[in-house]
Amino acid sequence: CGFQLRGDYQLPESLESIRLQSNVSKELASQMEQRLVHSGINVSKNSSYQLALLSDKLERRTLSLFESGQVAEYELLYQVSYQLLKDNQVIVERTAEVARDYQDDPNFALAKTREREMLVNEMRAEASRIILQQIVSELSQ
Amino acid sequence: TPQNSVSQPLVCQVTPVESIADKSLQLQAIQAGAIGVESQSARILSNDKAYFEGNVIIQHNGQWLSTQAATLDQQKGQIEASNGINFSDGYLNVSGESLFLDLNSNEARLYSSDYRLTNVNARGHAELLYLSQQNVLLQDSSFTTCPGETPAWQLRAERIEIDENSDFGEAWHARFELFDVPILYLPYFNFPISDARKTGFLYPTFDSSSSNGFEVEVPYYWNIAPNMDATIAPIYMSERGTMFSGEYRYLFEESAGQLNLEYLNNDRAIATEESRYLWHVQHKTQFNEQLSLYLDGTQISDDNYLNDFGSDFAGRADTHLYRVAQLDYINENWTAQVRTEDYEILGDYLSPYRTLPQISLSYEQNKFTGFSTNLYTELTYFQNQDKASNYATRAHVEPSVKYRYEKPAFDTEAELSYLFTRYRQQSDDARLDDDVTRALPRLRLQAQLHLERETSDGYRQTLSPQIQYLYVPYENQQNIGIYDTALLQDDYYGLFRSRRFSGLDRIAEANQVTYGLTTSLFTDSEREVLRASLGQIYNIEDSRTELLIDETNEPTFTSSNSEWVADINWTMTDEWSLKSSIQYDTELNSTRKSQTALEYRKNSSNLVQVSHRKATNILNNDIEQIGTQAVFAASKQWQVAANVFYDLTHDRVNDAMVGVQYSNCCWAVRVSAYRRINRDLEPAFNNATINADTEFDNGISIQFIISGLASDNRGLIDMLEKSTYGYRRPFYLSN
Amino acid sequence: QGKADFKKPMEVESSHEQFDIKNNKLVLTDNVVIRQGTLLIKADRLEASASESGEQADTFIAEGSPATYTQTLENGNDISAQANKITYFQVEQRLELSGDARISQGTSSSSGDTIVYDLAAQTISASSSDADNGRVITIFTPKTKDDKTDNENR
Repeated sequence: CGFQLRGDYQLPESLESIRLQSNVSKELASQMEQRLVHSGINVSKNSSYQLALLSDKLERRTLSLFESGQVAEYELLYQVSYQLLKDNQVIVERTAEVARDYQDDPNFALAKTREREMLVNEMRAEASRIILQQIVSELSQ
Repeated sequence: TPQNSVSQPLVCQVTPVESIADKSLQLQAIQAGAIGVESQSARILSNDKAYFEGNVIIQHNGQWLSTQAATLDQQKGQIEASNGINFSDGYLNVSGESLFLDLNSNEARLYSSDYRLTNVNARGHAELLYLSQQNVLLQDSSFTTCPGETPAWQLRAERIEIDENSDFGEAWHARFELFDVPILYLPYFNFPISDARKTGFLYPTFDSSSSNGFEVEVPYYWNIAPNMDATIAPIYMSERGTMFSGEYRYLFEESAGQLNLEYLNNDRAIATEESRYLWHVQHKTQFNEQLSLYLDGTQISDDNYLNDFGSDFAGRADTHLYRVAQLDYINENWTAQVRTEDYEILGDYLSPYRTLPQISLSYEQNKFTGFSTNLYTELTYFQNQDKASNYATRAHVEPSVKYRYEKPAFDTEAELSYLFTRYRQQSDDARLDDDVTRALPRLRLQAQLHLERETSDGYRQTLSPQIQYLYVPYENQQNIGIYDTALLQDDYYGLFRSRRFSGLDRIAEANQVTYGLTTSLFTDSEREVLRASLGQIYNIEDSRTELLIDETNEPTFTSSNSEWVADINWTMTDEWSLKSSIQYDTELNSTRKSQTALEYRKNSSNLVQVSHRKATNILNNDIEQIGTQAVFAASKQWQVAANVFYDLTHDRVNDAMVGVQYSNCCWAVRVSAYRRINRDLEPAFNNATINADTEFDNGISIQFIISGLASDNRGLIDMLEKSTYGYRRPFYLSN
Repeated sequence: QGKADFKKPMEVESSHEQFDIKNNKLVLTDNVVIRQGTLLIKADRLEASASESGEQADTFIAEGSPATYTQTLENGNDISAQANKITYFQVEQRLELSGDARISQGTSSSSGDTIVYDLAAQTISASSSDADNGRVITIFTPKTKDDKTDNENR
């Protein structure tokens, strides 16, 4: 059906290396660096491109209610705002958002907190994928 | 483009004030500190008075004056002008009777003048206008942001003071007038001029609801210091009494935080007329690059508090309040944390465990290809909140080594971890041993292939099959208590996880293969318009690990082979998008869990979202709910917003809110109606049975928003965010 | 103010000199310079004439593009003026500048179509011609710490 192995990482030619600067969570920075490296981009100090992770935000919203009217499922919304600079000129400024839902269980409050923390790390990996996707798309305009 | 012009707040058409500066090019160029005068004629006595007549224009340090006649006293550095003046200093434009300007102290007194603030589009009249460095004092004055002879609203006050850098104005002996009809007298009253300091300052708000009756809130803002402020708001509720609500915020070099207190003395709506309160503390200190401290805690007087009064710190329908105090140390490879966590459970549930404290230390090599090693260690002391005799100490060490090999066409990863945990437990549950050690290895092998092709209609399609083998030997853990562990919900994102329980008290054995497939469509500009995934876990042996098996029910399999999981994210056009995920059990051919959301979004002021959720067996409840959320800007003035959530299993409206906002350039009125579930979790308060059949609380809220004063021009979106489903609780992210 | 200069000897330089006996007028032309004490007048053409009663010349009309007049008064104030035509009435102690006139005294300087400067009372009266675009511009520069260094920004 016409599929063949991917030849290269489908990156715009100019983007072989990038400098990553993050004044936000270390975990997000390491997930982002991992995504960049796994996509064939060399993360190095002296590159004309710089990805600056500006801020990340986690919020929780009610998705559904039990008969008692209390929360049955929550939705976690994780937002990362970032800038892509070329020779210190901002060329992209966007926000990537990831959503995950999880069930609430008041009988195991501590366990649900640990689940929320685990989900945040998974959302950071997904946010990194989305950020790279948005950058590649902006540079291929 | 027209769409987003609708969402922009309207700004009143301001008759442009003719700038004095434009009339004199020469005076624009004089040096700082000099006084430039242009006139028909001038008589200057050396080092004494100077008289100017005929279209006189004076400029000094950016202050411009134009009049027919003016006198300048060179010795005292004072200017006087009468019979008609125009004055402007970039912040304020004034036309009045007469003026006295002291050039040394830069203070001006203008008599019976009409003024206009340039950046805030506010104007009015003042018998005396006293202007100093950044402070404007108006005596016997009026203030409005509305155009026209009889402005929609106007504030008349004996004294109004506007401080440019505190962004707040104060008024003494103020009368609030609507179309020249005085409706409110306030001895003292302050108002935000811009939203730099206090965003979303709704002012004043009038609500009425079946549970609180008629409600009026008039907040007072107190600008204690440049880095400290307080808001004090008496809230009168006809059914309950008057609640005091106070907020204090501070911002220092390294730390920032806020304290909140809400207190209602004997609530008339309750049989026992108890007092109701909420306090909230939030504080963060960043000692240096690595070390930071964070505290966050909320306490409420009773389980119904959130339901009855709502709060900025917790959702109305929340089942618990989370309190935490933590110290974080983070550097290149190490992350250390000491924290204690505590819960206030709302409603009748198991008493939770607290961590008193939990100490964790993790090392990451941050090497993403080839070999890399990580280490996670944790030491936690758990104590049950109500049964203090149940406590446990748990030590956990988890080294892991990973190898990753990668090419554009495929990547593969192997990870071997060793999970060593030691418990010392004290519990009244006989099954738990005092001293337990558990050590389990975990092997994870994962590979992914990357295929792609060009589709007929010009998209680049990728196809990524992914397979993972996970092995963890079985160990009976029924002698370990449940402290921070629960079964994780399995959706597509959980397929490739290496654990099926959260926390550490249960490590499920696994001998399973997970296979999944993800495909994406990219436009020629590499924008991902469609992403769909499908996957399943195949257990070579069934997993028997469970939380706590009690004799009553037979062991349940916590992972079935027949469940398929799919997820789709499709941006059909710039405006239409679809998001859906489903968990389907082929054996029982029933949908374990599904969620679908279709959205039409023209811009942030015109969007419609329809969603459907179905989930079986959450705390042995089945959930099926549909919801819709819509915001529609009919015109620049009219905005409508609504969200309705209907519960199909219990055949009732769980939550509904409809709001209409009419806004013109200087005021807005927002009328909203809501219907929500009235939870009653405190049997002692009113009726004995908890929530025999659900009651509802209906209410109407009318908010009169003075735009230009309280800058609530975010439209109706933040109204929806006050509803049960809309409210977003922020969480702190430490590392 | 400024009277002391008039007791001092007056030096006059010019390229040409012409004496009009009938009208009792002395006319000097081509870079005329008059110096008397701290008073200094430069002009292209100068007419010195005496009123009927006086025997010594007491009215000077200097024209130039522009003609200039500078003097330092007893109180240390410098005056410097320029205009197309400067008329100096020694007896009335009055200076009349007309045509793109400019004068600065102490910390103030003015410009306009016609300026009258009363040396005795030290007052400047400036006015612009009837045409409404004629304007009088007066600039008061800030008092620097010591007035002496003030004259370099004239």
